[in-house]
Amino acid sequence: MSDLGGFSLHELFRGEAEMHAAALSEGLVRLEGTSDPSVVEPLMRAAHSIKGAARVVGLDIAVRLSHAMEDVLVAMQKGREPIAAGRIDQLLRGSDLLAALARVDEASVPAWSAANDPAVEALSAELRAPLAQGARSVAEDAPPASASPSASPSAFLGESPSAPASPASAGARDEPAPTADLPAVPAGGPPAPSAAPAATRVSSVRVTADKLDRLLQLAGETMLESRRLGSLRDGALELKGLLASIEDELDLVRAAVRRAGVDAALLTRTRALVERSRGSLLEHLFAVDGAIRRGEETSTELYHEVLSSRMRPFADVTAALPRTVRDVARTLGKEARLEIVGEGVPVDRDVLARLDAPLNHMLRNAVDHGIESPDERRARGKDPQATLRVEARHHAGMLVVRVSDDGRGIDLEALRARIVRRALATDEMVRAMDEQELLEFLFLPGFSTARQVTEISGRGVGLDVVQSTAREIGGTARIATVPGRGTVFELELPITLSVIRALLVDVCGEALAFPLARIERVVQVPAADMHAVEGRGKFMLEGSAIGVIDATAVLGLGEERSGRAMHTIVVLGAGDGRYGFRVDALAGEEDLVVRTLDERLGKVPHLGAAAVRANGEPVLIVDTEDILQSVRAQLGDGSLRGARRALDAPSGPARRALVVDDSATVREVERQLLLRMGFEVETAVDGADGWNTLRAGRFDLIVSDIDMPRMNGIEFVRTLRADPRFAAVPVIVVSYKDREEDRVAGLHAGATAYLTKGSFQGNTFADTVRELVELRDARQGGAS
Amino acid sequence: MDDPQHSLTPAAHDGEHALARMRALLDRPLPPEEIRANTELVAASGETAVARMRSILVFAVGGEHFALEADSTHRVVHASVIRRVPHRTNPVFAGIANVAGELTPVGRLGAALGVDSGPVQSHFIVIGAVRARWAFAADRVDGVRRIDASRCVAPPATVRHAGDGCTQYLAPVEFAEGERLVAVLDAARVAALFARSLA
Repeated sequence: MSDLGGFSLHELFRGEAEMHAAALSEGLVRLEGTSDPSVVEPLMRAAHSIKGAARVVGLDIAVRLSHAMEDVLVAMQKGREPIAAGRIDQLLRGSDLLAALARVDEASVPAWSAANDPAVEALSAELRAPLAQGARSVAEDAPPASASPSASPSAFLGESPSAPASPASAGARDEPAPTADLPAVPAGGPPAPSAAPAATRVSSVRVTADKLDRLLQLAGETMLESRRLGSLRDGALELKGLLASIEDELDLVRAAVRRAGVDAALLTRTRALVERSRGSLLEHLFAVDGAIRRGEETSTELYHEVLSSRMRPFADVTAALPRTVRDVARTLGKEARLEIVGEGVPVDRDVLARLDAPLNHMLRNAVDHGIESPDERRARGKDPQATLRVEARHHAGMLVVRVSDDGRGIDLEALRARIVRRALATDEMVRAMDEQELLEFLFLPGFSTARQVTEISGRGVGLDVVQSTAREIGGTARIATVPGRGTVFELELPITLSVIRALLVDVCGEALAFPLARIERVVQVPAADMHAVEGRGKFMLEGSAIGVIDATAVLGLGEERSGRAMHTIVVLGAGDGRYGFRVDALAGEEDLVVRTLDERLGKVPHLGAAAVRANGEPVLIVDTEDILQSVRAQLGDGSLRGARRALDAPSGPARRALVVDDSATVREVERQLLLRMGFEVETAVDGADGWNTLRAGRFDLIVSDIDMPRMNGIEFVRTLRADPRFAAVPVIVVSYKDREEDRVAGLHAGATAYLTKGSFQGNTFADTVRELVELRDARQGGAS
Repeated sequence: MDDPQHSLTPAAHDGEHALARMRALLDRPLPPEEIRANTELVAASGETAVARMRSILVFAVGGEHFALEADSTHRVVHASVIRRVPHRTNPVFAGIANVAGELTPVGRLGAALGVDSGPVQSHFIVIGAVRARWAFAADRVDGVRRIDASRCVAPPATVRHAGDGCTQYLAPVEFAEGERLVAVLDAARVAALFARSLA
């Protein structure tokens, strides 16, 4: 009982119930689509398994429900019960209840059972009763709990004749069922179709993620240890060489002894002994060699197997989707079919785990807003049944997930009008925005293009989850649309978060790794070609000057080394945004298994993760984006502008504002407004960029967006407020988010004022700026 | 507990050799003080005798001896490369190291306790619970000793020993040059000192 791999008995039940309930739900939807009784058998088994597991842990409520479900499924398989939509609805409700139970922890089970007993009792009764004509509409329109209880007793009685059939049918299951009992099965016979899904089913066990991580660490250590054995072999080879030289020495001694006319028989025997030991050592070495090689091979394979066990097929996350689409479509009176492509595509389980919510939201959104009603579709000459597609594939080292529909597409004009009406931007601004920028608004919480708020996808709720999830794991989300033809959501995500190919460099004696995919190139620059510009290095690459910054200095690992004859430079970024990063030496390429930095270290600037190298040493993985921002801050416009400001100094320093927003349009609008008010303005593209820019200069005002990649506005404001240097700088948050809770969150983080982007239209923005800056000036004047 | 090999004495690789040494250890005649201690132990009522004996891991940092209760040490491994962490490394936080496949933060006990410690690092001693592990380097590990709790004394009120803030009690430990009082540190307080260096 104590060794269940870290799971309690109840947790095991939960795992099993969750898996079987998911299989039930998935299979039932398929069954409804095909009416193929051969699909029933695995469902029967699933219900049966839950029943068995529930019995083991003494969960009577689950035993009763799964038993009733199993009976109906058995009847369906025997052909005694038609495969009707109303029945499927009941069974789906049953599998939902079981799935819900699987989510309840052991302590809460009694409460759950008590609360859900009436629902389970009513549903079990419905399942036992023959399906009424009107049952379908009842199931659709009424919530499960209100299923007429008065029908139950009579239903019970009505069912009693068929009740004894259940043990009999259980026994009969093993016998070949008469073909006559199975309608709609091709003459080929019943076993064939059911055999296909069964063959592809792979049995699996549940292991905690921690255990798997630990296994990976140990497998890595085993591989390292077996490599270290190789060095022991080197020691033995040295010994072999030593023995050979003893033989040579003995030869010399023997010759000398002979020359002296002394009998050398003893020496000859000694030499033979040494030669024999060398021979036996050699033999031994061969054996050891083989063992080491096999050990290395096995441990390397073990390591890769454990590593690949983190990869799961994309199907893991799609199993429940047909059900979602079906339910949503039925509720809305629409017809939709879901096609899933790329179920076998392997994806890291960490990435998969994050995909569930975005996929659900995108599909709900597609059914709700994307596709038209059957009548509308017919009128447009489309198939009344809409087609949704979820596709996964690997492309250029990334996982691309597309969710598309063949619905009405997004009306950009209506979207523009809505943005203006919601006072999120001015008419002028939306005219200047390109399609991609406009569509970005759909990712805003609380933004919806639907005329009416629905239960299904709410007020655009969820689409913000799509974008934020993609960004959190280092990917992107895009929307594309063709009016009248449909809409495509495309997520580009890393296939795995766990292995990267990296360039290893040495900085001040420390091993650092740059993800290879993020490196533009690596160059060796002779000292003569390195020019000092404003105290910083620059060199020419393909006709453009590349600014160089020293890694040691940026990372704060020590003093910059001077007097190098050759500079080793890692070039990051692209186009005009390329910067060089000087390192001490290159140390080769390696595949690294990425581990998160110990959370006790907090967010370490410039670092993304850590890893253990093949030689067992720890290595730190650089966050190239973050480094690039630092380099920009130190080499970019900031310092040049700073130089210009020094010249203007006699006329009194201008007020300086920092604008942080990821939309180029909004940045420009805010910059123009502030310039008109006499500010010098610097811009940054997100919170992290803003934070780096802020530290590199002096600012009298900060204007920031909330929704930004990498570091959002809330984090940005909180970060700057934590630093005493910026504690008093006025911060205006300007966001599309106009809900009260967003406002509170912004002010709570330390914003001085919270405005919506509609404030550009009137004078609100300008007034607020004036008020805050003058207030601050007055306060400072009074203090000094 | 996740490590059945949980060996506090390193160099367990040397298979047979170690076995032979272990046999020699078991076969050696008991020194008279141990016989006396065991006699007392057997003579005493079960409960108190067991409560009175404690196992401590004795080690040296910066030339000074310290100890930790054996129960509170997770493992002892050969020291390996410590990778400095940019923007984080400070006198107390040395960096991270690979300890049996696990990337573990490494603290400098000497710096935390205010003892001058040199660059000598023979072993890492790992303390703390899962997810809160800390390693620190010791110049030398003397091994696990059984001590009689009744002979342990409270740390002096005046600051005389390094690391008084972390010392649970002083235990008499037998060395080649004679018996000495060794500060037995509280692993939780040591870990807290290390953790504070990151705050």
